[in-house]
Amino acid sequence: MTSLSRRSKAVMAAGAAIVLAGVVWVYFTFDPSSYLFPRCMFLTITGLQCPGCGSQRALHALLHGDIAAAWAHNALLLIELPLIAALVVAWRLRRRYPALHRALNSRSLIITLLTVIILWTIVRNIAI
Amino acid sequence: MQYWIIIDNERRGPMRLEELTTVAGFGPDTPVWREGLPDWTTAGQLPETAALVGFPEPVQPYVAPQAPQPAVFAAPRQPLRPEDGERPPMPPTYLVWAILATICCCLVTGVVAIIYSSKVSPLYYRGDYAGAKKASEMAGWWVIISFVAGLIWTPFYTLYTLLTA
Repeated sequence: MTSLSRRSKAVMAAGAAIVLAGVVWVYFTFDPSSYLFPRCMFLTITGLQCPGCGSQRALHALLHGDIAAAWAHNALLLIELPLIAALVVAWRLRRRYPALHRALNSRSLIITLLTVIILWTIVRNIAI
Repeated sequence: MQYWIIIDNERRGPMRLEELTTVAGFGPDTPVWREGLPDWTTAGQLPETAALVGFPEPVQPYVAPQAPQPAVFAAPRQPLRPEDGERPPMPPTYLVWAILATICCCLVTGVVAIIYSSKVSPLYYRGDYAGAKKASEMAGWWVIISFVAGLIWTPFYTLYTLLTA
C-alpha cells in the first residue's frame, strides 16, 4: 500500500466514501425483511443461522436508532462494530501508536474473537 | 553475554543471564537467543539457561562449534537477529476484512481468514518475517475468496427468490 501514490489513495478514499454512503442509504431506506435482499448462503444451505445472520436487519434497526431491535436481530454485530472501528483507527495510527495496533492484532485477541463467534453461533442456534 | 527472550509474543532484552530468572513466565520452553546462536532455541536446551530452569544436562547441544571464518566470506547478517534494530513493518492481519467476510457472507471461509489473521503477529514477533507475510497473504486470499463467493451467490439467490415468489 505504501507504493500507492497520494492521488490513487485519494481516489480510493473517495470511492470507499461513496460506497459507504450508498450502503448507509440503502439500509436506512429499505427494510431488509423484503425479498430483494440476499439471504445468507449458510442459512439457505444448512438451515442453521451463521454468526452474521440478521446483520442486515440489525443495521437497518441501528440506522433508525433502535438499538434493542438491532441487538435482537444480531447481538454480535453490536459487539463487532466498535471493534472494527477501533481496528481501522489503530491501523491508521499504527506508526504513532504501535502498541495499540499490536494489542488489537495480537493472537490472544483474535483467538478470543474467534471463540466468541463460535460460541455465539452455537448459542443462537440452540436458544431459539 | 547478553540474552534475549520471547514471553507472550513480546521480545525482551538485552538482559544478563542472572536477570532472566527474574522475568515472570520464564521457563524451559521460553525461546532464547544470544550472540553466537544461529537461531532461537529454548531455555531448556541452552546449557547455561538450562541450569537456571533446573535442567542440569541439555538433551543435546544445540550449537555445533563452528570454525572461525574469514570476514570476507562471512554470510550477510540476517535481519532476524535481535541486535539488528531494523525490522520490517508487521504485515497486515486483514482482521477487519476477515470479520466482515464472516458476518456478511461466508462463515466457513471467513473463519479460515480469521485463523490465518491470528497467526501473523506471533510469527512476526518470533522473527519469522517470511512466515508472518505468508500468513498475512493467506488471510487476504481467504477474504477475497469469501467476497467472490458472496458476489457469485447474490444474483443466484435474487433470481431464485424472484422465480419462487
